[in-house]
Amino acid sequence: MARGISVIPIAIAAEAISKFFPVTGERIPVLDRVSIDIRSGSWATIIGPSGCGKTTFLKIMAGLLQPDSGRILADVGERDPRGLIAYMPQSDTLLPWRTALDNATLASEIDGRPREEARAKAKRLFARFGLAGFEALYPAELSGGMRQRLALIRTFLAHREVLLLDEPLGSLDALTRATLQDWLLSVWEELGKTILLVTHDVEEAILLSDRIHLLSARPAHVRKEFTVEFPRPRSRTAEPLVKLKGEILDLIHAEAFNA
Amino acid sequence: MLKLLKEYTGAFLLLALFLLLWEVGVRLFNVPFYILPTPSRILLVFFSNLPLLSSHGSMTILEVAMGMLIGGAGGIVLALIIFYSPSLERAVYPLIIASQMIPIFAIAPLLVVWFGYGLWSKATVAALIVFFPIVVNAVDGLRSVSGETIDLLRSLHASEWQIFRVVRLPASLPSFFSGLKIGITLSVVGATIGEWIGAKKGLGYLMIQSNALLRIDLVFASILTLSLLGLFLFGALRIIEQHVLRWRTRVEVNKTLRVKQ
Repeated sequence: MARGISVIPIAIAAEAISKFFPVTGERIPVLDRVSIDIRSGSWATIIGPSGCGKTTFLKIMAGLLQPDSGRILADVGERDPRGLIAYMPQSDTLLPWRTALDNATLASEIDGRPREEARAKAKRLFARFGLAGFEALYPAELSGGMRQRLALIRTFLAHREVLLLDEPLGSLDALTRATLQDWLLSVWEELGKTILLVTHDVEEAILLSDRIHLLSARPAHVRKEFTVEFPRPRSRTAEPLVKLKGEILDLIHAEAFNA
Repeated sequence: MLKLLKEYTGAFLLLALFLLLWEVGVRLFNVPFYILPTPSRILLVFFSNLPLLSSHGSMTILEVAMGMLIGGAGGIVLALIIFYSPSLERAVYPLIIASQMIPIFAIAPLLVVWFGYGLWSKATVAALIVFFPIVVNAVDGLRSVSGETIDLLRSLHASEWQIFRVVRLPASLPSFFSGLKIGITLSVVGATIGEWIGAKKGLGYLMIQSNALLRIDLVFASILTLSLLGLFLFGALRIIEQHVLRWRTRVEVNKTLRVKQ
């Protein structure tokens, strides 16, 4: 995978992924040969008009859906990408009967890793995410922002190299969202994971990513790719950032209009 | 107990008013006690016949418990079959629903012929009545897990058994308990009907016997015992439910506290 010029290895790659959905006897194309390379330890973001198939693509990356053609390649070659990836669905999917701590250690339990070690690790991340003291509460007793942080902790604790995040901050108010973006960035820098983020928020994409993959309207293909080289932490109001935001927004609007 | 009184003040007041009207009405119109006894007489008969009532009552409880056990276990197995096998679901579910169109009371005499005058014919009636709400609610519960939650577990490589144990089973418990609660009240009715048709013991049997002897006060005392028994079983089930579903109980309590503040 890392053959060729690239020095930094590719963590996971999608190669010409196509997907059709059967709708009343017809095959509606959803993804049209989508190819994306994600470098190890980098932050990649997928953005595109709503309903363009972003979630479908992420599910294929997560091994939950089979593409009709194309393949997913991981750094160990072609294989089932599960075991390498941790997937965070759009809604927080916390289990209401489990305490916050037991929700966070779900992946360890599924993998059969030692319980006490997982709990100790989770407690450290709780402190890191400002959730210390809330370990014994149930999800229904937490605020929306806290639930989303908990779902992120659960994803980080899956001990996978690549994190696939489907609009993790989409349901939050602007303030909570901004705080969580900073948090997410600092945790990512600390843990050195590879992240593939799906979002519809252009500013969020520019603030966080190394690379932005802009998808077209359905059937989705990669419309354009941007490498974001501004040093982090980035300011929302810096001029080049605002300029890039305008450029991407124009393209999205054009796409949405085409759809 | 005091808390209970406080919570249901309205219900207790209404009941007291009803009993008072009954008492006064019977005395005012001189209704003979072998037609309609006064509540005070029923209470007197209830307490003076406590050993008799509790001996018959224990039989009815046993029948209900066995019925719940058999009906519950059968219901769970059927629910799992219906949930995990679409082809068996298509074969089994319509039949189960159709079977509910047969009035159980109509086949109760047959059950007495097949299973005798003892415990088992009544337990079977109760079980047949109980299993339906348990199947329907358990299937709903198993289906209540969102696709995204299943996706999350699949992405972690969870096996079907792990998905069942970690997600489906706990998710289905609330509606399973709803099914049990409907079932337990129905099963008391079922056992009583079974006892009317043919029994040697039980509150239903006592009612039929007392009725024939025009001991209407004892019939009412039996009805009172049956209601208390039903309330006791329902209450016991609720305590178990609140313990098993601690998470829900706590969340609900917190919510009401928040509203009150």
